[in-house]
Amino acid sequence: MIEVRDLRKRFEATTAVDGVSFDIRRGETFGLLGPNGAGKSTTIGMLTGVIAPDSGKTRINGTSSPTNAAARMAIGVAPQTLSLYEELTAAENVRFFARLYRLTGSELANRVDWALAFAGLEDRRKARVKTFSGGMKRRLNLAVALVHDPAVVFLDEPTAGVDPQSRNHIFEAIDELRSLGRTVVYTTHYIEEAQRLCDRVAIMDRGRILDLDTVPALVERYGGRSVVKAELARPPGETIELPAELDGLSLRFESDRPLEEVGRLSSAGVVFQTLEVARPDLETVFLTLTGRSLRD
Amino acid sequence: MPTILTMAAKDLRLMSRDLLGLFFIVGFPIVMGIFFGVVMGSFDTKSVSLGVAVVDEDDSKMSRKFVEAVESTGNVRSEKLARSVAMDRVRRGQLVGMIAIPKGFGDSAGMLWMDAPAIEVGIDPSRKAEAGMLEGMIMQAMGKLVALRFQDPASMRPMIQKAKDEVAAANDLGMMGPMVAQMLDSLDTFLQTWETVKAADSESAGGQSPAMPELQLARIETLDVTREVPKGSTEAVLRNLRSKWDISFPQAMMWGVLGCAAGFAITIVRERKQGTFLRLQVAPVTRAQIVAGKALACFLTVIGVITVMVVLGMWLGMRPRSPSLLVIAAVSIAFCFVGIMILMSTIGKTEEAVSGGAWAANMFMAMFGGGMMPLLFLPGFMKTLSNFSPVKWSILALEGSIWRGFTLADMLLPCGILLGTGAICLAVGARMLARTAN
Repeated sequence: MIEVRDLRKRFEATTAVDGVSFDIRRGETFGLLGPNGAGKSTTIGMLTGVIAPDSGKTRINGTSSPTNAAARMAIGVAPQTLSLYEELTAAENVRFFARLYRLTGSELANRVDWALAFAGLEDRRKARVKTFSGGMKRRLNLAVALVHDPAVVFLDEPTAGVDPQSRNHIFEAIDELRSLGRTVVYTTHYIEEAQRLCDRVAIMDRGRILDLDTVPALVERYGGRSVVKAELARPPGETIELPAELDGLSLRFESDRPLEEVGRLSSAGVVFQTLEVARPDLETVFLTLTGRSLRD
Repeated sequence: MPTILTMAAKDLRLMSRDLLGLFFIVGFPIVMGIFFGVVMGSFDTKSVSLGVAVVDEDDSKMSRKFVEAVESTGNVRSEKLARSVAMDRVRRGQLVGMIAIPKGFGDSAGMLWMDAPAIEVGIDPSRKAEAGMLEGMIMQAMGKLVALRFQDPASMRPMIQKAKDEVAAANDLGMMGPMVAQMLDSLDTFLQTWETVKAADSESAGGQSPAMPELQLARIETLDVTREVPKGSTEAVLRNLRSKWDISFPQAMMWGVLGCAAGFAITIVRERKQGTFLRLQVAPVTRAQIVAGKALACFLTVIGVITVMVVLGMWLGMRPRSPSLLVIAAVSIAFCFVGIMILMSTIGKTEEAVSGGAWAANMFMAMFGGGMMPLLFLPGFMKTLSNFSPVKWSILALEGSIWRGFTLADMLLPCGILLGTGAICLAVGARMLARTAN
């Protein structure tokens, strides 16, 4: 569905995107995960034809130029910045952009109704956007991107600055898109979102893709072992073999099978006051790949 | 084309919801046009009339006729007041003077052979010129009363008889006595004859009484001695003015047009800042269509502003000499300022920068183009500089069609300059816009 080959972009002395290549399959939810400034939005910009790449090739839905009208008809974009007319109502915003995609008559009316319902804003359709909360604006931003029923949807940090209720609504919306067979390209710096929503994730940092795979595969490859941290209720018997040395009553160890190890210790008579099992996740993957935390 | 119309409709809708912006585009020019029209109208010497208090203590038919006669000169605006109030208002400078008509005025007013009735006139001493005018108008009104007396011979004859009796009884008239008695006899005979003729004519005219020819002391014929002024001079041009709105409204229209240009220029950078421009860029819309949508909205708004101002001006009394040339002027101005608007939108990267820059440019164009002071009254060097301001050519095109009496050939220069300026600005602006968008 989407082919990207050796895409590069520099802004004066800064290299924003440095030789990025990947393929996205039809119906896939593809994540670009990385910290702010990693080059995710620039990559999206080049894929959608907003930013001209210095070099490299892109191909979307069989079209080589993203500025081509056919390519534009096939894509929907929910930019990171809220791209809405504050003085227009929700319905007027959706209707205006739908018309730009040449929707007319009953099809226009039906799609506007669908998009507003999709965003959960039917009852606020006549309210001006300036009266909306941040979460409602985000949902409307998404609705506008989907009104023309695009085959590929680019969502650039769609949950930035929204309340938990709106975040859940957006997650459900993306699940629905997935079930409808739409290809979704999702940029985020939230690990939980990438893990929950994406079929495959590309880890980006400093303009480069460090690796790309399914979440379990990445974790398996770079996550390492699970970490168990425990506070014991009392010192264990001397006959019990501990996986690591005690620090007072604190125990910390790594294991490929942490639950089995905890079970073994418990059966042997170790009494845990507190227990924490930290399984490897994309955060661990990012840490392994870059040497720093995604939250830094 | 549907895409451009959709874009333009959206911009017009957004503009209609920006009340402050709307005020600067429509409200402010209306206020300005009316204000300066009223100010300019107050300098119109043709409409000067003297405010005078009238104290009618006689309150007779003749005193009322006298007041009517004074007012009918067209140069006096009278207010009927009590004596004390009238004096007070003249002293406060609220009225030029006062005319007091004492009791008994009606008994002798218009009677040539009787003592002239007294009329008291009080004038502010600092306004001697008006005092002379007012005295002249009073004498003119008294002449009308004499004519009025002769129109009613039945009322005149008893008074003549009374006068004849007084002459007969007087012993000190000497040689004059018989002469005066003879004159009164002749007058009485004339009035008797006139009364008979009038009664007969009235009968034949079905009750309509014939009028006595108005008493004329001299037949005044008007000679055209209008001072010659050099063709093309300010005074010659000003003679084409037909209403006090002729100068103020074209000026005010241009402030509306400048407001449109600045307002729409700001909306382009606002689209960038609020992110909607990005969404337009990813839609199946070309950059040319985006610019054309903005341009169409601005064009229609400028035409709308000029139309509203023309309709308002016509309602107030402005009468464009050539509506068709006015349409040509409006279209040329709209095209020119659409180009300027696109160029203005590239001045800065923020709304504040574009707004500041656009209004600075507007002030400059207005200052040197006759937007602040009418072109006719600008000093020589400013008139030369004004050639570089589109506002000057816009006002000239508007004035040419409204009151200067331009022909189509005369309109070619201002409209050609406006269209050329618009085309250049549009081309340069669109190019710069495309560069900044990348």
